[in-house]
Amino acid sequence: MPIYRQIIDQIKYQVATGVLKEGDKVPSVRELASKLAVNQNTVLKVYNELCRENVLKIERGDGTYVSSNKQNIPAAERKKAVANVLREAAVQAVQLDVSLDQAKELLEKEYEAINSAKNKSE
Amino acid sequence: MGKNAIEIEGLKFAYGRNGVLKGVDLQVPEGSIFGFLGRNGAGKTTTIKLLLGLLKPDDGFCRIEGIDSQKDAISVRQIVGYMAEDQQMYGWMRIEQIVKWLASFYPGWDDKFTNKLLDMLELPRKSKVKTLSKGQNSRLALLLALGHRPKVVILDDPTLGLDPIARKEFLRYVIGLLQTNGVTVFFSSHLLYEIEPVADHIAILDNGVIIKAERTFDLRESVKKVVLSTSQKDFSKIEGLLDASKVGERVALSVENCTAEKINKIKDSYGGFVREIGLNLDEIFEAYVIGNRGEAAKV
Amino acid sequence: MIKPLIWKEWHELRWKMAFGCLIVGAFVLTGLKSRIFPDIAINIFSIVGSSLLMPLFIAMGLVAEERSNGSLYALFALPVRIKLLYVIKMILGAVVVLSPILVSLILSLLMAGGREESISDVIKWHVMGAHFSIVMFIVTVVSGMKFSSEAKVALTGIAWVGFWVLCVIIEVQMFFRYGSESWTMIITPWGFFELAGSGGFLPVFLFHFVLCAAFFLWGARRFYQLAGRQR
Repeated sequence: MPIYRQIIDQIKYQVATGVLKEGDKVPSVRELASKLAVNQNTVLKVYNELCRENVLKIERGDGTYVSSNKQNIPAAERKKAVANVLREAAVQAVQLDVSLDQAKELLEKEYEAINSAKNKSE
Repeated sequence: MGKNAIEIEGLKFAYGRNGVLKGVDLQVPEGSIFGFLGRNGAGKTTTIKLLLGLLKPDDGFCRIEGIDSQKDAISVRQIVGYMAEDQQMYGWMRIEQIVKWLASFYPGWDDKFTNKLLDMLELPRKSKVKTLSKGQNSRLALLLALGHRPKVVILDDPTLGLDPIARKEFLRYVIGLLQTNGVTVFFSSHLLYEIEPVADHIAILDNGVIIKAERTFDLRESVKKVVLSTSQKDFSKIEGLLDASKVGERVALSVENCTAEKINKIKDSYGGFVREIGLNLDEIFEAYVIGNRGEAAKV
Repeated sequence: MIKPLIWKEWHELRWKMAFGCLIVGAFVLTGLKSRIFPDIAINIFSIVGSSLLMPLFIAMGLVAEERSNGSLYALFALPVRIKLLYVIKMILGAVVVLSPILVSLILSLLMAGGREESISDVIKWHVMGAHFSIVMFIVTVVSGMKFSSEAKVALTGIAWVGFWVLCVIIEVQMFFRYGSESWTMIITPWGFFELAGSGGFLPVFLFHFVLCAAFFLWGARRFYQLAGRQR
């Protein structure tokens, strides 16, 4: 998986599990690039994408923060974002002959894990 | 578009009768981190020596920040920070001595910056160079290359012989110290999985010419592997085919400029589409350099 | 930029210089003091010994050593003319090669000037020794430039000595057979040891001056070619 994808997923995971809370400041492009030994342009691309997906918010001159306006996104849009990811999972499940019940079970397990991590950090 | 820090055009060079470079063309944008890839003996170090004016080309030219490497080699070496492959320095000198010694050759040497670097890179000032570990030696070589605040830094296989942790640290310094200050970094290595996160541009040198030069991101997006389950054998006609190999019962095709349109064309021509995979830089490099294409693409 | 380059070469050469001067100095001192052998024997011994060994010793370390430990390439990457690097190495090397001869000269003059040998003779021997040393030095360094092993450089120097000895043998044969001194005398750097009496310094000296100049220039070219090579 390309590096920038990995970083995006990492940040999203941290936001979902509450490691990064709403309003938290994330490292600057330079800081993160240096820390991960990754090209700054890659980090910039990551931050831009996450801004587009409303996970992060860039405050001019101030830094980048975890977005806190999820409530402002209409429910339909939020559902669509989840549906997109689930479609990929569905394709995999059907191709690999994993039954719907098994798939549901797996989804529940993953969901619980993230949720409980989130609750623990709150 | 921006200026190019390094420009190479039609560069040809032969050691005696062995033609090493047969017409190299390359542009390195200012401020980029440029990964220069190639197999051992492909001519990477030769290219770098030509850039520094240590060798005379048989044809073509190279320029760094507009200065011709042949016409004014001394000026080129003044503005370039160079770290040689497996660089060895005078073992009898102490670190502070060799720093001071090198400083005397560069009017633009920055003492304050160098002092800061000595601390940041954890180099003991009073130690003799011969007592340094490999990691310390590499960091010292980097420091000596940066002390005069060059605009262009050329690193020839800088992580050779370092353990994985030391390598990551080194790349961290490259990003933190160099990219942050808008320095152009031109570096060659054969540890591709390491270059990938760090370089924003890639060029592959093979058979004396540059067979591919592209932004890392675009290269990764454009080269894909298409897996087919088909009994057909001849794939040589596929446009942009880099490699066709049999993998068990299936055929894996590495294709460049692999748009959705192209994938559909392949699906139509051959059928048996299984899936499409992204490739990492190692695999892309392999496909370009030793891939089965043309006549060899008939598995 | 010249100063730091000189400093660096000097730092590497000074121990070799001290070693050479000490050995020769000690030998001359005890030899002349003890009066077991005639003064001229001591002088010739020390001069010939120094002229054979010191140039080899210095030549080995000048380029080959730096090449084998890799530091030569750091030098080439400096924003300095490669010819300058070469000239500094050669000049300092020559100075160090000559230093034991100088020590021997000073000691001989102080202790035995005018004793068994006239002052002018002592000076003459030492000048010839200096001549010999320089020729040996330049020829060894330049011929052995492409070797990265110090031992091979030393062997190159020894090969040259062998060649010169051959010339002397030819010369001696010619003399005994035809009763005249053959032209090969000019070739050997100690050829004028024979000619000295007949005042034949000049042709020998001129020949070797041209030879050394030619080798020196050729050496500059070979040194430059090293810059482009791999390890």
